[in-house]
Amino acid sequence: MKKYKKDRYISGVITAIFAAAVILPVLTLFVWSFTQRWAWPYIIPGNFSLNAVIDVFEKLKKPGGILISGVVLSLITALLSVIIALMSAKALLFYNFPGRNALLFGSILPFIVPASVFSMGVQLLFINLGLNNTLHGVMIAHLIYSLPYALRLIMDAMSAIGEKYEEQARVLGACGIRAFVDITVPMLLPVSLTAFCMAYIISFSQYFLTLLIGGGRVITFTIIMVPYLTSGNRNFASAYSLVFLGISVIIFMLSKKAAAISNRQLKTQLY
Amino acid sequence: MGLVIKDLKVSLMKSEILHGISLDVKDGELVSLLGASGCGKSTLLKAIAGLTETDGGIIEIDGSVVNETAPEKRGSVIVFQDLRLFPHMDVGNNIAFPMRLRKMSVRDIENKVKSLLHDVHLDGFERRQISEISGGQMQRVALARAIAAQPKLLLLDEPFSGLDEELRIEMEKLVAGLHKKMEITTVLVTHDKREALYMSDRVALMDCGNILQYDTPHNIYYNPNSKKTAEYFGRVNYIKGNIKSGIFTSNSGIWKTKPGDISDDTIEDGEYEALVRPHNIGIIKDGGRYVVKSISFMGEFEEISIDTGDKTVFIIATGGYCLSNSISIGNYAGISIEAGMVKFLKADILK
Repeated sequence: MKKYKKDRYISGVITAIFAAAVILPVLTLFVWSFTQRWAWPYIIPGNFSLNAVIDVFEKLKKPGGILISGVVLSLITALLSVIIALMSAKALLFYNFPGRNALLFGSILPFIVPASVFSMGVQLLFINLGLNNTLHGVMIAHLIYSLPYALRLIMDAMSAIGEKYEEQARVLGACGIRAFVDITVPMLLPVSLTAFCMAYIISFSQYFLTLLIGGGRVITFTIIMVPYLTSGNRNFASAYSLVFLGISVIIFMLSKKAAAISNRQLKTQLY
Repeated sequence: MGLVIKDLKVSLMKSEILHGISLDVKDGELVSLLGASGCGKSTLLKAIAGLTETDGGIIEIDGSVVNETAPEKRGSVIVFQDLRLFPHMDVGNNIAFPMRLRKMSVRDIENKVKSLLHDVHLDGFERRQISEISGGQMQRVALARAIAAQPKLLLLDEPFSGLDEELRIEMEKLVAGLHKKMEITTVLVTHDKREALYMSDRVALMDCGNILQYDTPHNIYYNPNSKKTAEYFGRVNYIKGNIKSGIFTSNSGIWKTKPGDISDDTIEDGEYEALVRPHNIGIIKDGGRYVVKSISFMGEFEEISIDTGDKTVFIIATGGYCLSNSISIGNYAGISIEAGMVKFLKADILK
């Protein structure tokens, strides 16, 4: 009993440390968002200002502004990543075809090749294809970069499930596509959600790739935020970072909610 | 009609697993594929269902060759050993799945699900999650789902292997009852000889990708065509001797090859071995010339080994028989053989 209490105390302390490691920086960001001047060694900020917060919301309010070009672009990229990853994972895991191993190796290349090198290569290709400086060009570039992450996540889960449930669905009368859509896809819903969030955050936080392929014409939230971060303007940088964090948390929560609803519907649908 | 397989060959990883299997299952018949693990039973089942590619041969279901037909169009449904219930659907939706594919109305599906759950003794389980039901209940749901697909051919791949004995017997009775009621042509894969003999109209004994013998349970047990077949169903005593004019003569005794009039006997003269099951040999306490070597008590029965001089004969008696008849190791005893239960095969066949 005594040991149990001690274990609980230790795990409580560890949890508190981890919680503090997340909450304290966010809290600092929050304070900095309303602070114009906070010099060392003062514990309390010297000057408060709403300039940064007002600037962020002014930009967010603009129709067709950063909200659409950033969040929507990343959401579409993430959705496409998951759809393509689901189909690619099935092909790479369960079908034998020439070049399968080369494709498998190719799928991990973005983990090995630095983003800057990758971006240069993609830019050269896109200039030839006429995709440079366009929104869909940026989206395709984001997709190429985020797809391997989604693919790896989904492949691991799909490999664990195997083909057995699809085989069962086939002998019960489902065609190949129906078996995949009705059985495998819902079973992979939790990992698809993780892959979606991963692809979203990769796309949403892309700066160099967006700048290079978008040529300054495609403005995303990150494109505006990063200069503030690098220039040392902590007030504006914090306000933008906080919004970045807030949007990401909202997107994650909404996707989780959607997955939970979809899962519940699947489990309890009346035929 | 039913199922016809001719010279079926299947390879996995470039190694031939089935070496020209031929089998016919009549309409409404229940046939067991019996054999040890790795003998190719499940591969045969998957080939019939279209889940494994074949190298050669013909598979006919209900008179149509289905070699090139997709699994969903063959009309065969497998209940796999691991059941494969869809974890993201509840019991009702699992059973409804094949009916939804056939685009049945919601009301019809609802009624059919209820009726099937009643058939497998799971009334009221529609809304239960798969994770909330026991192993035995999962077996029943898998069976109900398979029947819901209205198969022409039901393939059962060791569906009872994970169950304890009591539940296994209950499930066997349930399957046998449903088969009798619905008359679905059924192929059962099992490595349990008792299950195969009890449930089947015919049994196909498989070994290393071949069928050793395909016959009725009684015939495969009492008229094995090889030592392998005979021994698969339990211990066998082999008594060497020769037959002349319907009389078998051996060191262990002399008896008629067939009870009744010798002139009716058709066994030709020659060297034979008599195959005798241990429970078809009796022990004679008094006046015998053989020595009791061992007595192994196993509860319901006991195995007694008797040294006949040139070989050891095994006898199965009711449990406690030796104790109640004061027979102990080292005693002299005789043996009596049920002549009608002896299989004679020419010595050169028994390889």
